[in-house]
Amino acid sequence: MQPPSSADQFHLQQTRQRILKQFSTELAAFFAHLGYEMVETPFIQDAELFLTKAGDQIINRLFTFERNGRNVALRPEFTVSAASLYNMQHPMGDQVVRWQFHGAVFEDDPEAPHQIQRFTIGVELIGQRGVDADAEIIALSARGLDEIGVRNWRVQLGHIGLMRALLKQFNLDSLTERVLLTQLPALHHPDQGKAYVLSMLDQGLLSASPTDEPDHAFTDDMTTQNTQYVLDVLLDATQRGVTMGGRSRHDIVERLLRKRQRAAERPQIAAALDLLTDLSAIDAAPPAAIRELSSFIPSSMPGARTLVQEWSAMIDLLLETHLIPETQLRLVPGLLRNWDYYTGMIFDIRDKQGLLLGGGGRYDELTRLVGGDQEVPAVGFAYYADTLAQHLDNQ
Amino acid sequence: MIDSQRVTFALPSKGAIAEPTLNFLSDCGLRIDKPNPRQYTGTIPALPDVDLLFQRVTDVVYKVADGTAQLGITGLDVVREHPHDDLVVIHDNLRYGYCKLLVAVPEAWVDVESMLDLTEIALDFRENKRRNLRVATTYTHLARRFLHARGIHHFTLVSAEGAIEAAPTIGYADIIVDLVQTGTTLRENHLKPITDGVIVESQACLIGNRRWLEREPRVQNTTATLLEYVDAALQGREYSQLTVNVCGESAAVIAEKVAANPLTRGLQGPTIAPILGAHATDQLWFTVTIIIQNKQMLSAIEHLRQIGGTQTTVTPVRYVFFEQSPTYARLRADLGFA
Repeated sequence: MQPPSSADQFHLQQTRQRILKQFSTELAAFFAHLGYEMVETPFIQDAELFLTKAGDQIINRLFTFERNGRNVALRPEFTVSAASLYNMQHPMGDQVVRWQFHGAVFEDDPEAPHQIQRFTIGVELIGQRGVDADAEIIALSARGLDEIGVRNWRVQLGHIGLMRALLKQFNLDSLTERVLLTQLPALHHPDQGKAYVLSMLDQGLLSASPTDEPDHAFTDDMTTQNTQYVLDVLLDATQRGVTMGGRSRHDIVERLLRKRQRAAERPQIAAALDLLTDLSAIDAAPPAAIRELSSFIPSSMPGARTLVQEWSAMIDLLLETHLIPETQLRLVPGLLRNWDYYTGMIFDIRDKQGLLLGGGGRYDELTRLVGGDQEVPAVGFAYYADTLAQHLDNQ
Repeated sequence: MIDSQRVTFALPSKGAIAEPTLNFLSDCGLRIDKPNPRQYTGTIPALPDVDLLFQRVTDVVYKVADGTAQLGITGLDVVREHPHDDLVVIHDNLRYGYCKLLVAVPEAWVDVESMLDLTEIALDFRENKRRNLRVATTYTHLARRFLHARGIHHFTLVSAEGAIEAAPTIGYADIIVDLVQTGTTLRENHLKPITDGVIVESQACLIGNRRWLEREPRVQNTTATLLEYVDAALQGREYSQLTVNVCGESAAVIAEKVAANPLTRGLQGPTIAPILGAHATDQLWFTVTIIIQNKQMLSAIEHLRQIGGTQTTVTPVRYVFFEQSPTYARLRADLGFA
């Protein structure tokens, strides 16, 4: 670790450490009182566990190393470990558990090589379906802040499940869908926007292969069979077919077709981007935002309508049962979180200055993705304790 | 034994940049004395405080990082592969040993042109073949970082020390990450580079040990001297000295004509000397001497012809010394010296 550059900075760190220690003890007691059992997870686990469904940004910073031929990682967070632990303890997936975690998590950021370790406090509610559980977790994250004296927090609510459901109308393949969702922040970036995203897609995802661009015979009514034939001729004539690197000719043909098809789908992709741009422009208090959002949901998509109704019901619970003030809630459908495992509602908690204090969401597929036999409904959140300490210190 | 009064300079003993390094230093005026080709030591007569230590490129990095050697020359690719807090890249542009560390795939993969294609293929491997994409490389650190940064998360690195290019043909890997100079080896092994798959644009570089450089005047002085030679020689390659005979009324008139074009103004301005007693006419002849950039030579000569210049000669410049070595000034700034 780099030594602090001045006595002031050293003092600051000491103060924040003291604050952190104090509020993490208070939070642990508060969560325990509400039935959340303290659980430990290993610091070092197979890297594969975290690679399964992490977001790209997290994976870039995953602290990995090789140990006796195994690729291992320092834990970057608790949720994946929690899902894995749940699988071990409840392989039938039929128990409801309320767990809390706290401790160091790690990231390997080339921009900040000496800031490897951070402190996180997390809560997971696994095994319980429905809006009650969603509301319980969001309310808990808000009440926890009240408990330790954080004022002026604000919750931003998003819904990755709804975004995915709405994208279904464009019949995109999973890679395209994923790439589009990761571009959400770019859509509202002042220097980027929709045209930028589309041109980026044109260069990458939508670029047609040079081997099949000149003749149109190779496009519309192309069958797998004649692509296979063309490829066979091509590979034999050029002797390229000697080295295949674990893919068969069939694999290559199949993917060439997929690529062609995707290039033909450019209008749908542009339409999907239009919708994403509109949706992610919404940033308002719940009732108004829900109305605005509903106007973008076609009646032909009952699944998406149901999601909005559920989301709206969950917000009512927050307001009426958990008594969260409406002024402290914002609905932001374009919200994205760093982890890819979220499947439903997601949320961020920030202070007035925009400092990210915590966040979480629903992740119903994670238990299966980390090796379980079934999907178990799950929802959770984490506080970024270092920024929390910074906030309390400033306050 | 390493003498504490001396500076150890590690140079590559084997590999593509070993011989070029000796030539480079010799071109800088730093001829190397290596009494026994089988030994690992040598000297540079122009730098009497320096002991040379010949090591493999990777060992040059290790030795400089741990402080056994205070200075070294190796490839930028190797330095990036083995990052170390005590390692400083002093000069990253020695202009030889060019190569690229890049991602290459079988030519038969006609559907793959960009890293994004590879992202999808890695997913296909996982979903359809139930295994990871296998990547053969000696550069495991850089390869892992790069692939993750491009959204490829499910891969297995197959580390090997040599003949990486053969891995996809033999069948123990699907793609490779390897150094490429001309691309011939790739083609012969039926592989093709991915356009946006270049991880490091590498060449020879000069590295140093941060802790030695920060606290030891002897290491600083040697580095300063070494960089004087290196900077002056590299600058020298950019320039030529040009002399041309011009007929005119006076030196001042000619000077004005020559300096009218920025191309022929030289570093400061032309030096003009009269040619004495060589002609019967009543006209005066002068010799103009300027330093010009090589890449502008023909346009400069064209301008000199237009103002009546003839009998132009051009000689290479060996060194150009500015007020100070720019690289050493930058290094001092990097290390936090005033």
